[in-house]
Amino acid sequence: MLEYAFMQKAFIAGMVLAVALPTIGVTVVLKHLSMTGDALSHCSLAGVAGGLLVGINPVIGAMVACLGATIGIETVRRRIPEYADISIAVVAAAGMGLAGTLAAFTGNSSNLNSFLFGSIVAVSDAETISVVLLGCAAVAYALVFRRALFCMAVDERLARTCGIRTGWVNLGFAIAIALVISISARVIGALIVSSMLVVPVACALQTSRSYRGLQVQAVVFALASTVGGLSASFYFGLKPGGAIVLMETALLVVILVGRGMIAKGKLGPFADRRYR
Amino acid sequence: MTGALMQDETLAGCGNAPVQSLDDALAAVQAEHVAFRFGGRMVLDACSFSVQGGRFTALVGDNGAGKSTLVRLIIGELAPCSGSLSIGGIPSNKFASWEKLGYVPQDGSAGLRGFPATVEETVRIGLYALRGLLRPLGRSGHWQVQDALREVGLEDLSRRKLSDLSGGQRQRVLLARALAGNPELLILDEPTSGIDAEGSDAFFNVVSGLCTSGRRTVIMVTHDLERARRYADEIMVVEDHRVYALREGEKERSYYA
Repeated sequence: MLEYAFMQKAFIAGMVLAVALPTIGVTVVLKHLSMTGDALSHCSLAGVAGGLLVGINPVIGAMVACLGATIGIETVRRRIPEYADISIAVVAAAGMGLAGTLAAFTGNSSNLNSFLFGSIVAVSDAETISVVLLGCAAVAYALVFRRALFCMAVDERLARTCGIRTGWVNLGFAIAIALVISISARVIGALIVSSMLVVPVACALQTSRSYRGLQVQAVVFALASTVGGLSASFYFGLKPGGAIVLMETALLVVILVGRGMIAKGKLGPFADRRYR
Repeated sequence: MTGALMQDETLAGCGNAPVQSLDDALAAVQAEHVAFRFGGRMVLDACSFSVQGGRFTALVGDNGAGKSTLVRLIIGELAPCSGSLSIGGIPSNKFASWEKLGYVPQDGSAGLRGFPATVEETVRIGLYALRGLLRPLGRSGHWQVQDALREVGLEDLSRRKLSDLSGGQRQRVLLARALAGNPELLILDEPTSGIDAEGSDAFFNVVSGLCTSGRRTVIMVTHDLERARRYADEIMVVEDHRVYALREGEKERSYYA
């Protein structure tokens, strides 16, 4: 499988995203903004359509749209902090509306469709390099500001009294998430990207005993699902993006069932592990 | 009645001691004619008070009276519409010595109910202001965390996950986090809400013990006037948009009757 150049690029791009998306996703989930990925990926479609319409690279259009959407979500969230999820719904709806409207003028819908479900096995050399650079930049941001992001996930007011400039950290995080999602939409598909952001974190939330464990395990689950999904797609002729997400979902189901059995004492020696 | 008391009599906790130096004065919060409106509604109006250093001051009042708003003004999150508010002589909006301030936010414990972090990881947050966001905390950081946990009686639970703790224990974790950097001023916003009587007693007991050295000042927002009377050195009441002192022996207000 790895003797093929397209599979090598698929594995490189997939594994970089498998590290970057859950690393960012941990903060997204802990801030109760899990649907952010959906809203941004919908808006990335509007950017793709806009890019095709004005004749610029659709990925750049997606990035601009994602950045605008992230700032929009943050602005609405600050205005209505009690109902933060409204901000996501508003931006997602606006993004889809704009994408639908602009798509009618683009003429060629095949390029737009490739962003819906992605094409990880058809990424070019330039796209692979973009994924690696943007993915590494997002991971570097999350690592450098890990204490600030952790503190802000606990409580933003508390973060302020720790001397953290929450506005700047939030802006940096918004840029990181917008860049990663826009490039991920090209590679694994706008309709799937949010699941890669959230599902590995959901798995890790069931198994981890600490924040550090949560971060590490989320990445491990995402890497395992990506390798498994890409391999399955190669050998069984499946859509790679869909196979990765199904693999992640299956992993979550197995973990939830396993936890349930442990709680009921059906897994013998593991029965009381969670109470240690 | 209380308005006259505010203007004419010496207030409990109203030290008004001149500011000597940052270290001497930091453990003192001073407000002069502070007013704050929210959405056109008057929340606080011409509030003047000062909190004496090294004392445990309880801030009581009805729901919506403006206690938490006052705390947000003190930590500089909100800016007063008029008047001035300072911590140790430094205007609260310019205050940057965060390592000298420990803060426990309102509903902090509820927010941590399912939070995937250990006790130690949470308490380490208290060292960020002191050590910065990038410097490794190392062994000394570990011992500072252990000291803070010992101070609140949770030294055996450092590796436990927050979700495995009771509400009262989580609240004490938040207090340990505020204490980890050894601050001079502690601001606690309704830390005992949702905790049973036994947990509240334990919490008040720990907090009152923190001020015995006279080096640490505690401002605690609470609804629990009974325990505030028992444990606090001073009580301030937020009522009718003003801040009043509740002096020893003074008859309780009708809403606490």
